[in-house]
Amino acid sequence: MAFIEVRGLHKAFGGKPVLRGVDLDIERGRTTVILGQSGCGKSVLIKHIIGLLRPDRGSIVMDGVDLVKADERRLTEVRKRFGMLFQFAALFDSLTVAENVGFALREHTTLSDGEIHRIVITKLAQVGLRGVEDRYPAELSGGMRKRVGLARALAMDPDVVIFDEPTSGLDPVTSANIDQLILSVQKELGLTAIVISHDVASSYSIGDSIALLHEGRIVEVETPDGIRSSSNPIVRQFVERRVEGPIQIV
Amino acid sequence: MAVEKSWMEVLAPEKWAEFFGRRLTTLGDFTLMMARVVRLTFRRPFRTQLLFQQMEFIGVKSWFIILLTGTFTGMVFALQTYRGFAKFGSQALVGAISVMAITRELGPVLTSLMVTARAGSAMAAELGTMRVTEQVDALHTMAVDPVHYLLVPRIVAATLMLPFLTILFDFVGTLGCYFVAVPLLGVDPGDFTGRILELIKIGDVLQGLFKSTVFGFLLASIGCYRGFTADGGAKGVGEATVQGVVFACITILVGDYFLTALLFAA
Ligand SMILES: Nc1ncnc2c1ncn2[C@@H]1O[C@H](COP(=O)(O)OP(=O)(O)O)[C@@H](O)[C@H]1O
Ligand SMILES: [Mg+2]
Repeated sequence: MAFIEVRGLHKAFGGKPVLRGVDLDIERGRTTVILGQSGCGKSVLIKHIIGLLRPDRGSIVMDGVDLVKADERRLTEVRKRFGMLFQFAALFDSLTVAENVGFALREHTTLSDGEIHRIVITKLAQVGLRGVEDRYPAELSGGMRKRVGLARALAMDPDVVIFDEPTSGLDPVTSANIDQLILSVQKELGLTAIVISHDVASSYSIGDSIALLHEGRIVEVETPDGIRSSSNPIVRQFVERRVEGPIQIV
Repeated sequence: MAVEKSWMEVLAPEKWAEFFGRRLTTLGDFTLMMARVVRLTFRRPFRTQLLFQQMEFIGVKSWFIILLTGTFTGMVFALQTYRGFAKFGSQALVGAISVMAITRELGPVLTSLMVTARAGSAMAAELGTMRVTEQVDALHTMAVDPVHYLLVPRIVAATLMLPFLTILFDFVGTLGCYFVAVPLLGVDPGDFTGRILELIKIGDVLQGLFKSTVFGFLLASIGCYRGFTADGGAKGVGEATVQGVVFACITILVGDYFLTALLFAA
């Protein structure tokens, strides 16, 4: 049994279906990349996994617990095992970098300010940042913001970290840098990582397995090599960046 | 050629049903959220630091515009009532009538409208921005209830601060009225204060403070709710801010009538 099992997940917004029966297994300690066209529902899918959205139908079972049926109190406990790096980092812009990274610690632990500060410094170092504790998010570059977002996601030592398009909006060098960071952090901490992406090259370098989301369903799950050699026309079109094919831009 | 339309098409009952249905749904949603806000107000942890920040933002930083609007409202009221009352030779009543209007109506209503413009708009814009930049989702994923963290301190702070700002408005309004009526228009100072003490009851002031407390709750909850439910990027935040302010102002003015009617009945 997989660590997280998504089965038959359906979600529509105002009558418009976004997810139409997603089945997906997330293995413990591995990196699963969810690949798909912009607007196909990748963020919606992971917001279900972390319990921000409730599905119309379907189940998400993590460690034997059905997250869809769980009450809010149970979900709160489950959420503490997750860390999430948002697409645009979603740092609290009224708080400093240190306050952002230490936020969950301040909320959920009885650690002293000094201890929290020490952890904050460690987490920031882990993502390669030094001396930015007192800055505000608006004063940081895009790449630095993602790093702070990652440090914040790691603050509570989560089991699962979700990365929503960690490299979108960054230049190629910074992107490669962030990919490298995700890889090393995942290995070092033995995390279960779920990475949302529309970037094929980056998926190859960080994914243990790659799932392709298309028209509300997972149409293929493979290792990077398996994806490279796949004969599925949807996969081929996505990987080869062709305009013609089963994927239509609406 | 004109296309014949049946009465049903012209009246389009299903469109009206949808229009009112949506508004009713929103009202229901709003009511449920405010019930949660009230419940969460007494739930630990008490976020006193956030509460004080909001009290400072709403209360302390609004005192100057309240001072300004209060003073001039009192001044213009003195001018207007003097004109009318002079016709009956009852200039001495200028103070009492103005103070009655200020404490019962103008103080609570204008204070609330000014705070809506200043703080209600800021709440809608700030929460709207947090919503569309996923900061609200981030709170959620860190197992912190965004309603408890964001809405409760703002709404409690506004509810607590509005009466104090109204007292300030009442006070400077009365002073403004005095300075126009007595030195400028020549009303006898003894008459001015005598009639006020004779005609104004503490109940007039308390009634106004009660209303402003209710308005404080309403303006903050409407501003927060509209910002909290914003979507659609920067444009959505703009819309949320405008609608939050407009809804709050209308609610204050309409609510004022019903509250007053209720207080008179009691
Ligand atoms: N809260 C919501 N309400 C309505 N529609 C939504 C909501 N969230 C996402 N959508 C819609 O769902 C679709 C998928 O969005 P999303 O998951 O953000 O795409 P992406 O794959 O780029 O992350 C989009 O068409 C979007 O407009
Ligand atoms: Mg997305």
